[in-house]
Amino acid sequence: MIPDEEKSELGIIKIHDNVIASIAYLAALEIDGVSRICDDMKSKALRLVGKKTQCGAIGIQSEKNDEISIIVPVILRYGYRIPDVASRIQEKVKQAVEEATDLMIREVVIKIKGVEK
Amino acid sequence: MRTALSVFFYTILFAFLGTLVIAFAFHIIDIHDLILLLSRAYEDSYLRFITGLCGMVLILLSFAAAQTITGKIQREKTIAFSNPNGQVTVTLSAVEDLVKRLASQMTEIREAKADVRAHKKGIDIGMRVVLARETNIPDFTLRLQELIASRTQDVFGIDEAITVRIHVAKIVSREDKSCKKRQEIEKEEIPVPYQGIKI
Repeated sequence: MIPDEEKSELGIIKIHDNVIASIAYLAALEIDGVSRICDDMKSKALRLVGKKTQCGAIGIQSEKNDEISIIVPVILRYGYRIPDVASRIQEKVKQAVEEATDLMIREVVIKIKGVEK
Repeated sequence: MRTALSVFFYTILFAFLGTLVIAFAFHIIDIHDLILLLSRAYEDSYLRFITGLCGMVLILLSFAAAQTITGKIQREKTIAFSNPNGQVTVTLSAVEDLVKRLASQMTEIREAKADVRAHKKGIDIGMRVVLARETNIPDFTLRLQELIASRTQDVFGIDEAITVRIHVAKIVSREDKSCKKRQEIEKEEIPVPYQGIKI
């Protein structure tokens, strides 16, 4: 993971990908219709040893022109219209990350992995 | 890149095993040398450790390769559409989940399994259902096809044509289920011996 850098008068501010992933994770969970965010192998392994991560399998891809792409794998609740929920997640994640980090979000890719009650 | 590495790993491994087998079959490998080598590896503790370690590495590499290959296959099985903020991909297993949940809401269906496939022309949903005996099959299957097609199009916002194939695998009477339920209740209600007796 490459931390995103920002220069200020006093020095460099580095934002780690995990921080962006955590913001995206929490923002996505706020949307009505999202059941949970999918976990990756690392999160599963950490949960086994009693540590809970707040970034799941969210992927961050840094582009050359300081833009980032966020990949959010989610499980949705049954009964919701998927394009609407996906669109709301994209907007919320983009807004939350941009507000918190001042980074430019190129796209928010939503991967719907399942539907559950 | 990872898939290419996995394929390369399997190719090398199987080519090596194949060469060994051919060499053994054509007597290129001397049996006495082989026995000597194996007995040395069996007795020497250092060689045993190395062999065990190699085995562990092979198992781990094999798991990693399998995961990469299957992951690649799973990635391909998606329906995608674009929004102004980015792409949305829906895995076919999510469509299967939805179809199963829709089916489970219908009282006529006892069991349902779904298999979803995406083609260029549209989406093909295959269903295997177990129905209740009293069900009028032509009417019910038609209703089910319409419901699944319309709900899937509505929920996923898919414009492509959806074909729903239904395979009625079994017809069971209501009693079958109620009998099973009764048996389960009886099992749960088995009294615990000596319960409540104070000594």
